[in-house]
Amino acid sequence: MQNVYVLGIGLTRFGRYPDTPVEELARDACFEALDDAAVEWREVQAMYSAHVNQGVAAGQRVIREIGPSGIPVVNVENCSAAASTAVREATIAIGAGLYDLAVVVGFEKMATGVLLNVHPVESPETLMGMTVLPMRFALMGRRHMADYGTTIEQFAKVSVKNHGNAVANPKAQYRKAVSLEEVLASRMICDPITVLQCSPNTDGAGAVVLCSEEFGRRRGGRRVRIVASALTSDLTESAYNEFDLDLVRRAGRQVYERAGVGPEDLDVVETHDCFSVAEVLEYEMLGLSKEGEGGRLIADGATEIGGRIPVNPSGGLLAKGHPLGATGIGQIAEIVTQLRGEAGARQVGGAKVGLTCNMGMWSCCTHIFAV
Amino acid sequence: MSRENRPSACGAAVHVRPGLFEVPADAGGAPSLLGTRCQECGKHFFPRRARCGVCFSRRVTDVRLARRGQLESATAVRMAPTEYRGEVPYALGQVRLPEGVLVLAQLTGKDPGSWRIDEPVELTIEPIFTREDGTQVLGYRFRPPSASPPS
Repeated sequence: MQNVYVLGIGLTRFGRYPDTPVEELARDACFEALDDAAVEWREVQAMYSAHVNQGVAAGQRVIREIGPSGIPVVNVENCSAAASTAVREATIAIGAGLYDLAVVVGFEKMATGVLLNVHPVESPETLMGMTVLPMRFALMGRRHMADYGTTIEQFAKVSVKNHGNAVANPKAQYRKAVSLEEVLASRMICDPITVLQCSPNTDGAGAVVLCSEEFGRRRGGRRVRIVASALTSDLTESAYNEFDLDLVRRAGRQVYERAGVGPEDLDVVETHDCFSVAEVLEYEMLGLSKEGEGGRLIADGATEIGGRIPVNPSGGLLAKGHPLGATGIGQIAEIVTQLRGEAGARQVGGAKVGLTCNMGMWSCCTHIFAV
Repeated sequence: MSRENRPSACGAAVHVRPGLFEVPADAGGAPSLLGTRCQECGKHFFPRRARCGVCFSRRVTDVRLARRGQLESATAVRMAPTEYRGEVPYALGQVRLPEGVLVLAQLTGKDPGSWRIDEPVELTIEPIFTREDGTQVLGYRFRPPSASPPS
């Protein structure tokens, strides 16, 4: 496998776009990424299109807006891990020598209301109230509190940190700092998770231009290397009634092993904080802290910008927003921006190695990037 | 006893999904969840499975699972999706049965915010929804254990 690089990134601002078709959001992200990479659309040899609920042939609908060019279009649905999964697939194809230049675009326009695990209306899951997604993290969080003494305040501090980081991110949905008191006093969704500890419903799109070693050398530019990726799914017995993030632990171990680095080598991390509890548990699964010490890691400030291992300098899903099919590219775009040293007021000083962890229902996709 | 817990007046009742639980015909009989035990690795599952979910063996047996267990974790859901027809808030818990199985289920019989981790609970089969034609849909929940020991 040859090396693969991120040559360009593009993001719409994450937010709400009631009057803009999702195809146009995706198109704009692609145009920005192509310009950032200084390549022309006619040079692109394949498109990978990630989304969750945007309907059939969504990528083909996007390409009609960009300019039909006859290239292969692959639509990737992998719940919230769709965009990272699509990046991984494009990386494998370029690495294998199939293409020199590919675009990956992720996009989503979301409904309102609480995030759901989708089931038919008269299914047991719906009638017995089990489709409410935050309950999974509420149950894991309460068990974590009982086992390790993690506190409600420690979970809530994740939201304080990430909302604070998003103030300096022009692409974030919410750019307003919140206090610990505000997070704790906001509406309770599933004990102990309040609404300010839930990622919002978001519209948005992101795109990356990926290239081969040879193409990158020929064209120059600010390349960021995709050092390794991993993709896991859940173990069957833990998928339906049991909840844990073992799939994150396995995706972490695999990507570290392939990259030949460990958590101690990372300078910056973007992880899947769909709910505050998730970020704390992922610290442990990704080896940023020991088992049971995720609460202490956030309490000590280690994951703030300027801390030992900054996590979610973009604002994370909690504040940057969580447009399901675009979220993984939102994370990757942030790491690329950080490794290029272009993150402005939220820049992590001297960042050379970064990790993304993008989780969906029963899948987890990790990447390690380096300059 | 809440209105929902009373026996159906019209009599027609269906299970929310066939094969999840069993309610004995005799009035004194206790209901049970229907599970699977792997004959090779011994692991239990709920709901039933065609093959083992751990070692993937074909040699599995249907079993009735124990009615009592303890709470692995619990939460009060205070914002439910529009598709949910019951009352909000409600409690959800993961119940650890003696066979080692975890069962995600609603908790009933006391304040949704009052459930404690490791608390003992007991299976109950209750109407969870009434269709427009009057048919009651039965589902499984867990409640504080009754005073008498389980049969």
